[in-house]
Amino acid sequence: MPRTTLTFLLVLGALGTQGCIQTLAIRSVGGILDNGFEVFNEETDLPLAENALGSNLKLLEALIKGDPDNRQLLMLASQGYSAYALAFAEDEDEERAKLFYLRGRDYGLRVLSQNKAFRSAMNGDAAAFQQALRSFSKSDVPALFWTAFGWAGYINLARTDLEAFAQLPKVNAMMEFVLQHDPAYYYGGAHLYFGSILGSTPTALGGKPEQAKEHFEKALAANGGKFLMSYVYYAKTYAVQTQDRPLFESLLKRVEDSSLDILPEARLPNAVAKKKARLLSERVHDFFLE
Amino acid sequence: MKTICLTALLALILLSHSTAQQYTIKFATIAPEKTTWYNVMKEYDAAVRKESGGRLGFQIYAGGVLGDEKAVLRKIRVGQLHAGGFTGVAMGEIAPRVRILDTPFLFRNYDEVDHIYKQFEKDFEQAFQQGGFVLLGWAEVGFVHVFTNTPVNKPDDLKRIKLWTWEGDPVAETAFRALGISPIPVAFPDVLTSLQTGLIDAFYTPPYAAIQLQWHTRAKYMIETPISDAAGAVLIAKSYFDKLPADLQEILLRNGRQYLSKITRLAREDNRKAIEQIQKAGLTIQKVDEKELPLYIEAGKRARRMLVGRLYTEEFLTSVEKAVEDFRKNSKASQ
Repeated sequence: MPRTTLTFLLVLGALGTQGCIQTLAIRSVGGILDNGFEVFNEETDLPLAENALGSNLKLLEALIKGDPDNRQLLMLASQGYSAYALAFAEDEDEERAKLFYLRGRDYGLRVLSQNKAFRSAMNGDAAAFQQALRSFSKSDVPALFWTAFGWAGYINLARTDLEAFAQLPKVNAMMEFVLQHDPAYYYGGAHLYFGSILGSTPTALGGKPEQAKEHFEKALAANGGKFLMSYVYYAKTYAVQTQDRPLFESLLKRVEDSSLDILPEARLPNAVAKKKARLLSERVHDFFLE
Repeated sequence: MKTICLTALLALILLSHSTAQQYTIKFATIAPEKTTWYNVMKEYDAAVRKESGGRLGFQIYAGGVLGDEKAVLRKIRVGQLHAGGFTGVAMGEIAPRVRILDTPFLFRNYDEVDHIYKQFEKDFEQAFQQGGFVLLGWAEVGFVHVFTNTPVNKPDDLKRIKLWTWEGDPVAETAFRALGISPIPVAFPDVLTSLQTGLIDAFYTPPYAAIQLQWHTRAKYMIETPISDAAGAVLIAKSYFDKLPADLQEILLRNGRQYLSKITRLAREDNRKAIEQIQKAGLTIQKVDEKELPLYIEAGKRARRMLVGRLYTEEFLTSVEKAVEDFRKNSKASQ
């Protein structure tokens, strides 16, 4: 009953229990919430997951107010908001999605900013930023990945926001770090990122479809072909840019045909992938000449 | 009761018939979805659909999925597509004389640009028609700046840089030769890689594009004085346009002028903002010494002469140059 425990602890906090006890309590909650996320990721019913994730994110934020430097809570909020944007807002209401991606990014930045070198280089140029990334190690991969994920998600939707777009080299540098230190993290997430970036740029503007394909294949190898979002991005970017309609259709069919139980711990992202695959196949006439 | 039902049914049939789209213009652009360019094209599409009662609309292929401009041009010529967004190199294949707009140091500000576009509109429209296209509207790319990795204080400094030139673009190549530079031709998609390997260390592009292509990450300086103003336009195959009923032609053209000029306006705004971002990214905006300016302007004149016969007639060049001079004098006089 994680929810009950959480609420109880929150009430305890609100009642004005001594500060250190409150902090201790919240710290122990981190672990519960961590398991809570597992429960979310196993959920196949999208509306249920949407409601539950939404209310728990607010709860998380309340906890963060009481313990503003707690890395675990900040990480959960970062991942939670970005996941919410991707799963429940991006295809329905882009303005909401942009807002949530930014929250995801900003909670992640709060974790990363605990590193002094990063904090001072964050608003500097790309070279200084890249230099600062060297002060991180493999254990920082999750924070870097989810921060970059939220940031990239925002840039991708806010294509008219030039100031945001100009920051893309920084996001690339963070994902490059993930790629070098833990390429298998989050189902080969960094490979999926670079596959999408290189695959969606038109070859006329320097897109690299062959490199994109390699990244997608490596992501699929990392997740055993079971993380269905891989096929969705493969279809949406590489298959469209190379005008390979049979590949586009077979990738999306693969998503449609896959059981949600192939990867129980990723039932939710896979259910979201199925939704995105359906939306994408409805738009086939926008991508290929009839 | 029966009559009412019948009338309603008839009205429904008529309505569904009149809203069935009869003409779908297949249009391709390199601009990705969600960009200003794409968003305004969607507004154009919505306006056309509304005014035509759903008889006319666009099918937009964004993000260069159907290839670069030259590929789009080929697809239009064989009838697979009907319209496209084009810039200099492809426009030059359709209507060579239009490329006069891209020549170096012709314009100093957007007022001059607007004036010449307006004064010579009929000439350019006619040139497009001779090339088999109808102009739906200009969609300017904007002032082009040179980006370098070493400071450029005078034209001679340009001779020491390894400047890229777009393979197969006679205007850029001639412009640089007139400045005494031997540029290095590289295909457009390979520019970023060539900047990384050091094959080239300088390039030219509008500031907005520099950020979109991330080329700005490979430069230390941007020269403030633009070398040219890159033209752009949305063109539709004349063969397709001629088949449209007159009322749809009118709707298409009127809205085209309106929405595409909005793209031009927003592109200018984006280029201005891009320069701010470029400075934030650590690049220095390099001012050109007033004393050196005439050297560039003279080089521009020489370059324009070198293209006579290849892209336009001497007579046309003289008339455009004179119109710019006159406008400049008049605007100075009125100040």
